[in-house]
Amino acid sequence: MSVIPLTIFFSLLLAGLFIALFVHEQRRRRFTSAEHDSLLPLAEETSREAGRRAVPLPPPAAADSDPIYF
Amino acid sequence: MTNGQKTTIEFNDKIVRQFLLASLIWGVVGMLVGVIIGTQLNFWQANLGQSWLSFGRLRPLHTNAVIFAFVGNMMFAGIYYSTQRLVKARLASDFLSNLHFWGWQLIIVAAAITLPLGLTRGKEYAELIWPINIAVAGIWVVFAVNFFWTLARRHEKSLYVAIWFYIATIITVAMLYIVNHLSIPTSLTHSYPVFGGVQDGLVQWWYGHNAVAFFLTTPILGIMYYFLPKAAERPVYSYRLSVIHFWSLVFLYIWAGPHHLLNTALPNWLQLLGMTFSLMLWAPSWGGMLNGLLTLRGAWGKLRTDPVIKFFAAGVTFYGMATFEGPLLSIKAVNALGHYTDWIIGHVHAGALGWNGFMTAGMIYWLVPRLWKTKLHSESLANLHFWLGIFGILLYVAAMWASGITQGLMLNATAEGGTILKYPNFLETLNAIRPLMLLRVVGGALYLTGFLIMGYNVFRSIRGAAVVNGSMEVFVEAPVPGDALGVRGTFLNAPVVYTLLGLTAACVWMFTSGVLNLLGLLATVVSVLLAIGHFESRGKAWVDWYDRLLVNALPFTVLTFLAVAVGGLIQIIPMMTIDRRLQTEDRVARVYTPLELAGRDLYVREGCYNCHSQMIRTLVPDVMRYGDYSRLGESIWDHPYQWGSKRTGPDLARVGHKYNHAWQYDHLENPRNISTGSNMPAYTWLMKQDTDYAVLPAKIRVQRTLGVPFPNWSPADIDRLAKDQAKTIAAELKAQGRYVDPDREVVALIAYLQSLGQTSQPAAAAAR
Repeated sequence: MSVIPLTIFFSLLLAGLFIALFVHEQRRRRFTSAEHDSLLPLAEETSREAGRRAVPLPPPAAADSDPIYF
Repeated sequence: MTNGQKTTIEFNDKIVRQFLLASLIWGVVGMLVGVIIGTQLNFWQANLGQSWLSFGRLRPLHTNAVIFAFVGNMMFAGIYYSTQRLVKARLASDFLSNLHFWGWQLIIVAAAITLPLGLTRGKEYAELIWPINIAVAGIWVVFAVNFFWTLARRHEKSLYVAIWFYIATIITVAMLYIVNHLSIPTSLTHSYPVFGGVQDGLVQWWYGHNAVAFFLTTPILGIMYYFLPKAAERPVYSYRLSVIHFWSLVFLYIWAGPHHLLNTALPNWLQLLGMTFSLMLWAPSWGGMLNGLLTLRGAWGKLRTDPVIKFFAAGVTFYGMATFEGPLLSIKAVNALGHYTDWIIGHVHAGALGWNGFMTAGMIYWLVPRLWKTKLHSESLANLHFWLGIFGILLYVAAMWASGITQGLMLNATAEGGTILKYPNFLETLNAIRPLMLLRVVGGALYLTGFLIMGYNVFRSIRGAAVVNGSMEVFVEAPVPGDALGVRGTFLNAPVVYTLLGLTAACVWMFTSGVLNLLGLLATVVSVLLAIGHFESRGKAWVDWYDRLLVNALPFTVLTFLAVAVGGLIQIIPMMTIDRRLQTEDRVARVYTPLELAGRDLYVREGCYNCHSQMIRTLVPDVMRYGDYSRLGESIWDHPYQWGSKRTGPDLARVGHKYNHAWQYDHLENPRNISTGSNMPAYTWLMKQDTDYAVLPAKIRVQRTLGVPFPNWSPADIDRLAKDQAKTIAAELKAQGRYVDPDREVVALIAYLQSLGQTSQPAAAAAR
C-alpha cells in the first residue's frame, strides 16, 4: 500500500476529528472552569499616566449599557 | 469569549494609592503606640503621669489602629486593586470610592482622639463610642455598595477565588459589627451594650474572634490568592483546593468564638463547641497555607532575589504557624495554662506581625512600582526590612511564649502536696517575666524600624514618579438569560442538599442525648457516605453547578451568608432566648448602688479590663488564689461584661473588702506604695477629678430599659444616694488617715472595687 494516500487519509481523519471536537466544545454550554479561573490573576494589562487617556473611554451613558451580572 | 465588542477600561488606581499610603502611615502609628505601651509595662513612668497616655487607654488605641487603620486600609487597597482586574471592570463609583476613603480616615482620627480621652464602650476591639460605630457601619455599607455594584458591572462573568473571600469579609464583618455594637446611648459619648453578663461575653467573642477571622484573615487570603500568583508568575497551586479551603474556613471559623472563654462560667456545651470547631479549623487553615506555599513551586529561586516573594512566603508561613497555635491553645487543658498570659499576646502577634504585616509589606513592594511606574528605590533596603522584621517577630514571639508559659506555670504551681500555692504573691510571677517583657519591646521596636525603612523606601521610590493607572482591553458580552441560577438552582442541588442534611444530622448528634444522639451520629455518617457516593458517581453535576454558581454573584453571596450565619445562630440564640435569671447557677448579683455604677464606668473608662479579669475559672489554682469560682449570676447585670482576657495584674472578681479603703486609695495613688515592683500606672488624676453625678439618672434609666432591676429612683434619689455613700466612704478614709473630698472620682472607684464579689445573694432569694 502506498504510504502517501494512507498518510493523507489519516491526516484528514484526524483533522476532521479535531474540527468535530472543536465545534462540539464551542457549542457546549460552559459557564467557567477551574483552569480558566485560575489564570485570571495573570491577565495582561498596560499602564497609562493618570489623567491622560490614550483611548477615549465610553461616556457614562454608554457605560450604563454594560452588562449587569448578578 | 471573543464574540463581544472590544473596549478599553482604565482602572481607578488613585484610590488604591490612597489606601496604600494610609495603611503605611497608620501602620507606623499603630506599631509605635504598641512599642510605647510595651515600654510602659516595663517602666510604668513611661506614661509621663498623663491620663491620656496610660496603658488602659492606649492599648485599645493600639489594637484598633493596627486592626482597623493599618490592616483595614491595606485590605481596601488590595481588594480594590485586585477586584477591578479580576472582574475586568473599573470601580463602579468614584464618588463612593472617595467617600469610603475619606470617611474611613475620619473614623480613624475620631478613634485616635476619643480613645485616649477614655471614651470607650469597654469591649475589646469594640471600644469605639456609638456615634463612631454608626459611622463605621455607614462607611462599610458604602464599601459594600461600591464592591457589589462593581461586580454587577463586571466583564468577566466568573468570580475568582479572591472575590469569594472578599464577599465573605464584607457580609460577615457587617453582621458581626452591627450585632456586637448594639447599644443604648446615655449621652452623646456614652452608651451601654444591650447584652449583659454571659450574653455579652458570648456575643463579644463571637465578634472578637471573627474580627480576627473575617477582618484579619479572609480578606488577606483573598489578597494572597491574587498577589501571590502575580508575584510568582504562575497560577495558584490548586484551584479545587481553594474551593474546599474557602467553604470549610468560612463555615467553621464562626463557631470558634467560645474558645476565648474556656474554663470560665460559660456553659460547658458552648466551650466544647468552641474547642471542637477550633480543632477542625486546622484542616482548612493548613489547606490554605499549603495552597499558597505550593503556588511558589518552581519559583523558589526567586526567594533569593525578590523581596516580594520573601515577604509573601514568610507571611503565609506565619499564617500556618499562627493557625496551628490557635487550635492548640483552644484545647481546654492547654488553655488552662496559656489563657490570661503573654502566650496569647505572642500568638496574636505571630498573626498580626507575621501574617498581616508581612503580607502588607509584600503587597506594597509589589504595588509601588506598578502604581507609580517606577522602580523600587532600593532592594537592599527591602531586604534589610525583611530581616529586621523576621528577627523582630521571632524575638517578640519567643519572648512571649517563654513569658506566658513561665507565668502560667508559676501561677498554677502548688506546694505541700497541692494544698498551698507555691507563688502566692502575684508580683513574684510578674517580676519573673520582666526581662522577657523587655525583649518583647526590643522585638517590636526592630519590627517598627523595618516598617520605617519601608516608608523611606516607598517615599524615595514615588518621589517625582509618574502616577499611572492600569488599563485593560475587555470584551463586552451580552448577558445570557440561561446563566441565572434562580432560587431553585441555588438551593435544590446536590452540594447544598447534602450539606444541609449532614448539618441537621450533626446538630441532632451534638445537641441530644440517648437514642436520639446515636441516631444523629448514624445519620451524620450516612449523610457523609451518601454525599461521597453521589459525588463519585455524579461528580460532574457538582462541578457544573459550582461553575454556574460562580457566575451568579447574588446566589453565591446568599449561600456564603448562610454558611457564616449558621454557627452564630446555633450558639447565640439559645443563650439569648433563655430567661437570664435561669442562667445564674446558685448566685445572682444585686444591682449596683448609684455610686458603684459611677465607679464601674470609671473602671471601664480607664481600661482596667485590659489587665485585670473578673472571672475566677473553674480551675483549682484559680480558686486557691482568688477564691470561689465565678458564677454566671454574679455578672448578670453587667453591661458591658468585664470578664477580661488578660491578667497583667491579678483577678478582681472577689477583691471587694479584701483590703480596706485606705489600701485601695494608696494603691490607686501609686501602686508601688503597697505592692513593691508593681507595673500598674499611678492613677493620680482620680484624686483631682470630680465624679459626674449628673449623668447617673440617664445611665440608670438606660440600665432599667435593659432589664437591670434598679429601683424606680427619682433623679433626686439617685443624687442623694450617690453623695451619701461617697460621704460615708470619705469618712471611713478619714478615719484611716486619708483625707479626700467625697466628690473625687477615686471615691466612686473605691466604692465599685469594694463591691466586687460582695454583691451576690442566693438565687432563690433574688427570684423572689
